[in-house]
Amino acid sequence: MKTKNILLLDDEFPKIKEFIDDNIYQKAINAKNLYHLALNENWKSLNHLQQLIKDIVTSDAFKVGLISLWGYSEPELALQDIELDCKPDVIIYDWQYGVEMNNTSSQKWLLEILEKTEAFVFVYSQIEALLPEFLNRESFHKYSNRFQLLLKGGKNAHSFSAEEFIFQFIISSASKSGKIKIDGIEIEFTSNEYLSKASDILYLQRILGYQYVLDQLEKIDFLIDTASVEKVLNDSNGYLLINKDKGYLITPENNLIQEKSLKPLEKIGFLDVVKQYSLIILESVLERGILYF
Amino acid sequence: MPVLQEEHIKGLSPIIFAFEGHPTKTRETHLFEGEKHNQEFLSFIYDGKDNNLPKQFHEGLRVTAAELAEHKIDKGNSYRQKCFLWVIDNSSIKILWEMTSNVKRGEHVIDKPFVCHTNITGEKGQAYIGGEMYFCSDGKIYINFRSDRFGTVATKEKKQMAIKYMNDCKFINIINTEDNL
Repeated sequence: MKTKNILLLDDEFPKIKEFIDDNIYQKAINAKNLYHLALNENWKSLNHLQQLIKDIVTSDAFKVGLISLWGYSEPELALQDIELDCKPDVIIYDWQYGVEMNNTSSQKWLLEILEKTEAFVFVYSQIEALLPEFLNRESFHKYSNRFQLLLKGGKNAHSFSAEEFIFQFIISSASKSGKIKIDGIEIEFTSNEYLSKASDILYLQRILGYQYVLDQLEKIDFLIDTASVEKVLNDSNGYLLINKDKGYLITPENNLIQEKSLKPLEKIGFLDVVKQYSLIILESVLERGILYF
Repeated sequence: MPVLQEEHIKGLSPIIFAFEGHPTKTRETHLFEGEKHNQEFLSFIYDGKDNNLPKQFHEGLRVTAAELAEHKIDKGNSYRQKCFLWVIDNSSIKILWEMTSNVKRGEHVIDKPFVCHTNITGEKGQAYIGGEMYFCSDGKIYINFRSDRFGTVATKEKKQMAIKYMNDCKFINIINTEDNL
């Protein structure tokens, strides 16, 4: 598997004299030096970022060379390396640099990064609530599937913290299996027939309920693979109705069943829907009420 | 008579909050951060009382015959790139292109960084009914009631009145995809 190249852009890495003297902050900071800072310095309010660096560097995927990690204290330094053929796969992009108040440079750099790379970018900021105004602009529109806004130290979708989400994304992109965290609980995730990456668990949660899935983790020994996903879906007892001849799936409580005298309809459990179609199809039927396949 | 008239209100009532009456979903369990605000989108939301093409519409958003078949739009399936969300609120029909960026929603509902029906009404806003609409190259407008917030619980009579109201707003050649089930 190809090594995934992760860039971490943030101007608030702790500054230590020996690194300043060696001009470490004026170029790409290697993983060894980032880890040194994470282990030995006080990151104050950036303790979540500090932990993320520790998690990445101590992961199995990093140890066997499936992940490389570089830090930049200025976006322009990263852009210089990108011009020189650095090809990042994932970029963690802090929004605020120095004292800039009008967000102009932050937008410009982010757009440049999106234009010049094929990386997935986490826009990672403590002022996340103020950023939709900029990121919803038309200039970012064509990249909307390549970036994700996250609150530094915040909680995402009731399950992953921002850093847990970034970590699982990196691990899933580099390796078929690995240890991740959901809501602080350590999980062994293996890419499987139903969930190709760990964040696909969020589909399961939207379908079955956030708390339900968290509660099920203990019953599956905190191991997510094909068999355990099947167990969670099966134990939910959820089902849809299917008309195989006409080719649609419909929710059991849908008014259209009576209104249109829809039949013949057969019961099909959530697990079979996912086996025969996909998790996305199941979510879509539950959202839309009926779906032709 | 583009603004709702007495006849429309009578046929469309009751007006509901998102998920009200839904058999399995509630605002508490299924309305997420990023799906509750509408202030940011007000300038994009089109008031359909004026004429029949939404503000964000351009010819590139017209659905071709091939797309209609491929995405089974005529059966009520979705094609997000060209989908317009609509609701009829307490005064008229409001329309918003589904692919309008909403990074706040994408933050909490992974893989969905675009708007939904409650980004038209707001968290505490109400609507009589809602769904999707597609403007096709043959001049037809395909509509459905696929909104879990405002369409799932709608009765046949309510749907018929919604179509009548759209006709009164000069939306012509409307095809109700439920007629193709």
